[in-house]
Amino acid sequence: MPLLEVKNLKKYFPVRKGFFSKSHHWIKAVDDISFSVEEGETLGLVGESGCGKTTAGRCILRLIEPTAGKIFFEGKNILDFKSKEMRALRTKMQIVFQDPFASLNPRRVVLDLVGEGLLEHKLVKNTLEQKEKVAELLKRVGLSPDILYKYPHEFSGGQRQRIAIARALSLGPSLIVCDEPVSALDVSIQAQIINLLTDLQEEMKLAYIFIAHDLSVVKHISKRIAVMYLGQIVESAPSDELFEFPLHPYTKALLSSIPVPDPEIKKQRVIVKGELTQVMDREKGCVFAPRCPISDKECFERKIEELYVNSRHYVKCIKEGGIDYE
Amino acid sequence: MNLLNIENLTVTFSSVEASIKAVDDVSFGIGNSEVVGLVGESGCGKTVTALSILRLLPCPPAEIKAKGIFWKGRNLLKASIEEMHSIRGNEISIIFQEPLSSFNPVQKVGKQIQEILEVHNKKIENGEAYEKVIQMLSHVGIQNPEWAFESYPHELSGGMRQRAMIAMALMNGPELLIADEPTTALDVTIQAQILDLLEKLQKERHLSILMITHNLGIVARIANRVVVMYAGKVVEDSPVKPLFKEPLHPYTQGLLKSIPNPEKKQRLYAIPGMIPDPANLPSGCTFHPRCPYVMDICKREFPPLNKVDDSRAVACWLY
Amino acid sequence: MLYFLKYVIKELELKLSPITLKRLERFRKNSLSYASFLILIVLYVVSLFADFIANDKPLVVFYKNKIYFPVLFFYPGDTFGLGKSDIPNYKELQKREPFREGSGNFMIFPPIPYGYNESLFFEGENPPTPPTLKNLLGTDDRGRDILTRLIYGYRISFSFALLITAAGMIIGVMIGALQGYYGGVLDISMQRFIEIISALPFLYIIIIISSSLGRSFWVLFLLFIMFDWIGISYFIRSEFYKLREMPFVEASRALGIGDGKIMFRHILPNALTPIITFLPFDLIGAIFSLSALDFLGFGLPPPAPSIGELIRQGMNNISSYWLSLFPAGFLFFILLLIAFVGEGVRSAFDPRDYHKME
Repeated sequence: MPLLEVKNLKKYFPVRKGFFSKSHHWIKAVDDISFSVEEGETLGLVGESGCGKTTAGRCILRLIEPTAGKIFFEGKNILDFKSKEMRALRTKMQIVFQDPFASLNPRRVVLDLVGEGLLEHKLVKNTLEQKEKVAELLKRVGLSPDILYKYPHEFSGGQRQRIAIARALSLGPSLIVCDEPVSALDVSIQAQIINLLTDLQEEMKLAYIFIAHDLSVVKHISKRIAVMYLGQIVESAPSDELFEFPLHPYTKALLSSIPVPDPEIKKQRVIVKGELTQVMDREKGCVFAPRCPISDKECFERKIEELYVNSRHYVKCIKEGGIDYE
Repeated sequence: MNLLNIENLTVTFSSVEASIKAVDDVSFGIGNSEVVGLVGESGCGKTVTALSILRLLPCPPAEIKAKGIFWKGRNLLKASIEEMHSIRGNEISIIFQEPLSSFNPVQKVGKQIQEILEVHNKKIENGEAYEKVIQMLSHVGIQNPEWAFESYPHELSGGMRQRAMIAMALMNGPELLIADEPTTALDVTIQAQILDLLEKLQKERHLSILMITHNLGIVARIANRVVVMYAGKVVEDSPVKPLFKEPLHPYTQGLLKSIPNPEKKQRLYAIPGMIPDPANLPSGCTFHPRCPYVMDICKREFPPLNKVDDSRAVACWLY
Repeated sequence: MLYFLKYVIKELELKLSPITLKRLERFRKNSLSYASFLILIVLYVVSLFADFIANDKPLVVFYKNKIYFPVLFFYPGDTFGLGKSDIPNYKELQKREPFREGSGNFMIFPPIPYGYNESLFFEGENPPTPPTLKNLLGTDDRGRDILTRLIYGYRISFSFALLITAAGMIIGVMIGALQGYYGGVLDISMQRFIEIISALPFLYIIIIISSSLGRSFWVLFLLFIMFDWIGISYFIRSEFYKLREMPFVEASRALGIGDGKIMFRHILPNALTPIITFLPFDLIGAIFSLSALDFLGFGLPPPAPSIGELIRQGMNNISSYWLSLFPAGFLFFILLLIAFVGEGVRSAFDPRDYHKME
């Protein structure tokens, strides 16, 4: 049984026109996505800004309440949980945020930041135990226990992210949602943090949902990758397979847009037209059709279903394959 | 002769607590129609260097000392304020990372671009200026330039704003464009579009570009030459192909190795240690605590930037 | 309640964060504000000891080999040889037989030997009398020494204002926090309620209620608080709206921390800036309103000494310049000092440094 199973998750934001009018228009931030994560494995959730990956991550932790769908954690639908059960759930699912500068309260010291949850959930009996446990966690993430009484601004971005990871580990979760944890860091530090996350995963059998917009980073850490665009998963496959046999035009475009650090390689580029714009009330047709280089009338009309290429790889496109490279 | 020559630039920021050398004895040049990538991680001084060229740093708390910053032979550091005004936006332009904060949110985009034109061409007429702006907006790839002209900055998408900023920068036909991380805030696909645009414009107008970025992939794509900075100093200066084929400085080597390469799946190489605190720099070569080839002399003295051959220079005791 | 207090103490023991320390430094550097701040503190502390500085009761009485402290305790008349139910008038007593020179009994009076309610009569002059060496600022229309009344009056108005400001702040912060954190219907309805209250004319209401319920300390106190909290609630509401979106708040929610703790522990410490910058100006408003009420005759009940009342007398006896000049001047001086402090605090907390660009 998978650790986490998301079924038909939807999050719609109403567009209000005035105080009393009932909304008939919705922004479909997350539009019917389903995926699962096995214990100890990583699912990469990739897409550009506005695709809904961040919203989806928050919904899984119920930091945002989904509009519809089911989220099964260890077999139980957490959307049915009342507050007491939710509290218990907090010890099992955690999150690491993108901005290491904003995710730590500037007026609290490291001991409080990392140890807050421990006291709250009574995982330690007193402040002495709390100190010990926090020191242990800090060592685990590669920081010295001397920093207990320092403030966040005394640290660099990479160190702060480590503190945030220590905080996420404090309650002993089995799943951590990593929301673009390295996007705000320098290249040399990114590698350190990714290595840390991989090591922790092995040691503690952690499952990750790794949200990112950089495909190359995601490949290193994920077993499976799901590509999102405008609230839908347009392609999902094991990571090697996604890179070797991308099917959806958007995936191909993403892959080809990554600047490769080698001036010799002149990549074959898939040209994507225009820009991502939120469309309200889109009922039929493919989400990507307006920008797709190979879209035609049918793409705008038909209801697009998931097409399973093999047992682990599906794509939401009626024309997979056959793109003109430029 | 180089279009722009920075010689021995040092920029110090003083506050009550400390004096920090953000840029330490930096020298490099940009030639005609040349794209130079200024690469480094946060805190290495690349943005400060760029801002010093146009003297956009508030002094105090900044203090600029240099042999000179020579633009077409003239030392910009000795130029008068009027001279600087006539160079900015006219001969040298700059675009920034966050187009939203570069535009005045309460003025229409078109008006702001037109203003640049009018400031440097006092005699131009309203109608003619309008035409020129529309032309430029269309040239940078904005589909509906008239609509963009009448819009406010927040009404445009990120990519369009960046294009508008590029249009504004190129209005007066500058010879040098300084681009400070212009694509960092954009999505990957839009980034690719903007880079395409810059490439196109560069070829058409024989523009020199100083492209500041931390992304080596961008540099590989668009730059002719690369200057690598670390903790305020230049550590390597080389044409782009040899840099990637055979990086000389251990920092450059480390950077290249730590880029996740989708082709290979293995444990990422991470340069050990951290970027030093500018108030507390290591002695000698600032990179020595993290260098796999560290020697005794590295701890004592910072190596000078030495020419390795015609086109390449490195600051490392290995050479 | 106990739980809440325990909280406050623990959280305040939040050793001053470096951000706060830096701001204190900046405040200290601003000599005008720092000096004003010190002067205000000194004046207030001094005024707290008003009883020892200006009093018609002596500090110490040495009588028949025993020491008495009339300034602290009340002694019935028979202690000093008067009738049992007489209230000793120490000044009179001093003129009498037991206390003449050489008897071994003496009294030590405070430096300003007048009570705030003691009417002084001078030969051939009607009150109010102009400043003399004995009455440095003159006397008021009942012959009471003005300097004494100013000292006591300052004590009362400042204390009262501090009390009002503190209570108003606490209420305003709580309500603003709830509004900003929960938003939605709670916020909207509370806003409408606030708008209605703000539309009420403060001074008139106090006048009306004072005149019907009678003038008393508590009535005044409650009425002031009812209006005072609104100002700060606006600021706190917007700070909370802004801060609740911050990732570190989300992180705490993800850890399972409850709303109350998040508001108090995480958001509030980051929302202190408007509180501290607003405080001095709130204080000024309170002192000024109180003086205005006293001036109109609706403030604290007599014979409470107050600056406003003195100014009123000044208005009624316009030719006695000392009745207007000194109280009004003193009030002006105090409010000016507070304003300096307020300015200093505001610029110390201002995150931006403006530099000249060339």
